[in-house]
Amino acid sequence: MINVDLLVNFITAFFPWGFAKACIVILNLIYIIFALVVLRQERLMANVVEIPFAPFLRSIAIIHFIASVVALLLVLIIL
Amino acid sequence: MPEIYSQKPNDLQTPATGVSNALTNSSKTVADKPKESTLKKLLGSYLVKPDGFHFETQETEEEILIFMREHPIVNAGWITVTIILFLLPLTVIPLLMNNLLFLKGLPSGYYVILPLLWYLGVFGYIFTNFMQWYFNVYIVTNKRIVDIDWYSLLYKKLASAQLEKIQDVNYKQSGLIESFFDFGDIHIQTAGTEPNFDFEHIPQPDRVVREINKILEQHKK
Repeated sequence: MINVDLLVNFITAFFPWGFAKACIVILNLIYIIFALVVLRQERLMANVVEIPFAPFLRSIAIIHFIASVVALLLVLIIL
Repeated sequence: MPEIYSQKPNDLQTPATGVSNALTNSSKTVADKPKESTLKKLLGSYLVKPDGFHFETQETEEEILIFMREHPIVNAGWITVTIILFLLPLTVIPLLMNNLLFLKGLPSGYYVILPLLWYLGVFGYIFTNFMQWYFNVYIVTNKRIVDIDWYSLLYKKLASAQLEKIQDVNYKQSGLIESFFDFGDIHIQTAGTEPNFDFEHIPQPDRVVREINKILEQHKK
């Protein structure tokens, strides 16, 4: 038999903001993958067309990726 | 290259010996152009013999004569969306906070994290759109024309055709915006099984067509 009180307590412990946090973490993980794709893509584009501006764009892509990882850490710490 | 903008009188008397000289010696329009600013070199849509530019399949003796990308005005759409996305949290969230009661109990951490994630996403949107515009380029070299297209972050197409295969170059400018900002589509027809080329949203297409025709003439000699 499932203890109903325990189940309710379990759900209320997560809902609504626990669930929201889980969604945000998942979205953030997807975003980190996107940032990685952007980073990889920037390198690919810069290899196909070598332009003097490319190192600057590469720096931005790296900063973007680092920012997405930092954002995940903040989500885990603050929320 | 600096020499095409600061040629000495003696250099101008030197006879042209190749296609690469087509833009320097036989063209007043480009050769007399004032020196380009750094900003134009970095973000310009039409560059003549740019320094430090190379592309993937470039051969050792191949020289980039014209380097083009779409007119900056084509970015207006995503820039407008960006402005809306930027302003959205500042306008919509206070409205939601006042009208949706369950948001009243939102823990304070969410007020920090949600805008942070939102603006991170907006930045990603800006960056990907900018890259797609920036690396979508059309190149005319002393041997061929090259079209490098990025349809999305994961799909690219690189097409090229030798100059001798080019049969006809024309352009189309239609609509109020294209006429106002002076950009249009250049259609390059090639012979045989080579694919035709469409250079889209090129600034001053009449000038570009003129320059390509000069290069072709020089190449035939």
